[in-house]
Amino acid sequence: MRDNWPPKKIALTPGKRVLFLTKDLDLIKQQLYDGLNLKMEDLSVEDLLDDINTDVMTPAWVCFDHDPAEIAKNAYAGLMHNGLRVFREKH
Amino acid sequence: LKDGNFEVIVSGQRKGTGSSRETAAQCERWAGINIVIAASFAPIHERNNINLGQLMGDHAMLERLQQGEELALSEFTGRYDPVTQLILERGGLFPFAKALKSGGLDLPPLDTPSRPMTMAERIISRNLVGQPDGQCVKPEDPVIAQVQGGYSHEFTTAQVHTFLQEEYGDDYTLPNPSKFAVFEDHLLYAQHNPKFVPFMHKVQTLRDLQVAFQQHAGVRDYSAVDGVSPGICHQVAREEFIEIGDFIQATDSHTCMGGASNALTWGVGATEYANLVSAGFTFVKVPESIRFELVGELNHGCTAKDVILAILADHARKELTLNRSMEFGGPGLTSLSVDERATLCNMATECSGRTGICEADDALMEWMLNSQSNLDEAEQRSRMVKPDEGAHYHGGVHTIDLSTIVPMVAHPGDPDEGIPSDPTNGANIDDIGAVHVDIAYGGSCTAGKEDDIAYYAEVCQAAKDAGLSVKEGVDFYIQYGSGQVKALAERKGWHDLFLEVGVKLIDPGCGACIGAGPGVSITPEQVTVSAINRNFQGRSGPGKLYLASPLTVAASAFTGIISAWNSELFA
Repeated sequence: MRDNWPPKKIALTPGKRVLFLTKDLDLIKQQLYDGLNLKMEDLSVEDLLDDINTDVMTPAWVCFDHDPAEIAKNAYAGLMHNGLRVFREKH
Repeated sequence: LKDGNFEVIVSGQRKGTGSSRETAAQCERWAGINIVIAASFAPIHERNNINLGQLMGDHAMLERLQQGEELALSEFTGRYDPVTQLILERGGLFPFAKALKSGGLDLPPLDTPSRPMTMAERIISRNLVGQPDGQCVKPEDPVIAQVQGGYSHEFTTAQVHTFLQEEYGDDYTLPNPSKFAVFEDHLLYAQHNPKFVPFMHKVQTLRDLQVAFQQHAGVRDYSAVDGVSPGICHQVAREEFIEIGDFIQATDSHTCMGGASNALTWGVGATEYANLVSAGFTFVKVPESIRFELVGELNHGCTAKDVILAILADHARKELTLNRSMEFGGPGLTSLSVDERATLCNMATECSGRTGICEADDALMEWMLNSQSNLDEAEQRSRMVKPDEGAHYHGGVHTIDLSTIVPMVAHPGDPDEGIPSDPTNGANIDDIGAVHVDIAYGGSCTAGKEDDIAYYAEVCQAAKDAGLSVKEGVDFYIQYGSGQVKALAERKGWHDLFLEVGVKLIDPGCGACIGAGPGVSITPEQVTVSAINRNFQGRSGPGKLYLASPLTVAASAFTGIISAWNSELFA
């Protein structure tokens, strides 16, 4: 579990990143695999994915897992692009 | 996600819609995300995030953060009620409960004056923690309340065990394990679903961890013996340990079935359950209520299932039941058996209600004493809850004359044309034409109770007397809701009767209702008439599924088309 969370003042942690789930799924891939970092001021809310449902975040088969590490490993396993997972499976 | 070193995740409108599964919030939390940004959140997903200590904000706040600004924590917590603020400030439900238990936290006092209360409000009121005796509550009040008991099943127990070990160490203990239980009922027949086969090794791990939890914590054990389950959790819980007036929570959406025992019962996620089973109390936002005043009596051939299908098609479709406690009372309720009342409460969840709860009467008292012979009648009577005169129902008071109810189905819609398959798709059987069926299924928590089995037996006896067997080309399955129900069927001779007329009998468990057992459809063309509670597309196989009463299911199995039951049907 996280220690000392949350602090009284919330700031971004140096070295940590922000992931934008954009309607343009290629942009998500660039953030995940090519190190692209985006800023909110360069985007509009309309550029972002709406109605992300819980099946996209963890499809039913992920519910067979109980271990936090396994569930984290399959985060967004239901987000598909051209039949393939946007968040690739880790071997 | 984890490998990207992200701490913030950003999306647009309505984050976290759909199923209430807690893993959705967990997957982000455990991949390192601390802050979730969206324009809006689905309510249950938002609550799951709160329980995990995830901070939620909007896009303007993110813009300021990315410009290097520090934001006060209160900007993330200020829109919530005072108790939820405390939960977030502490980092989630577990640290909040720890602080409360150790005396390191004072709850804000409630200022709700004395007022008439509904049954749900009454039960919450008498379980308040950190408030003076007699303190009243009103809808939306954020409170901490004691729970008397609960249960989990093999789909959820492993997470509960893991969370408790992480929070309290491997030697954690539970304060009151005797009123909590584990059930092996959901995945006993999972191998019947080809989609589940690749995951059977994980199912076994879930079973093993449930055994480990039970042995460690000493909760009631309802594991399968020689592959046979003692029964579906909701049915066995009401048969064996839910008492009148209890506040019960369990890790399943149909926990609300316990409301037939004049108890307040609803489903929660694994984090909430792990917290309440260890702390003995939980966070509750007092729900609004809607009252159904039942009058008259059902005509022969109609059941409580037809009543709730009518409520689904009317009140639920209008969202009058949404997130409300559905309170059932009136002289008509007394004409319904306790098992029939359980059908009404069970399907409160299909109505998107918070729960269902029935008034108590002598029939309930008799049923309780027959089911749990250890109970003291005077004590149980003292626990009975009634709504106060003048209690306010935000969803209104709706009188239903049971004599006007007719046999109904909820049809499977036409998902390809944008008409979802949904329990609110009510239609009178007289109006649907000749619908040929391939599968008739009677079972599940909703329709595997003693009185449901009696309904199936009534029709099967009439069929036998008329020299009929199950219609050629139709598979008719009956799955008992519990070992006690099966034993009754054997004593009454119904078990043999079912076999004689061609019914395929299945031992107790959830089975086809969750797509995991005999009775699921195999092809999209197959049509099922089923007494279960949900007809969501794909839930019980790829075919089309009509929800109906136990009488309709059994009658249809012999005619081969969806048929309302009457005693002349086979003449």
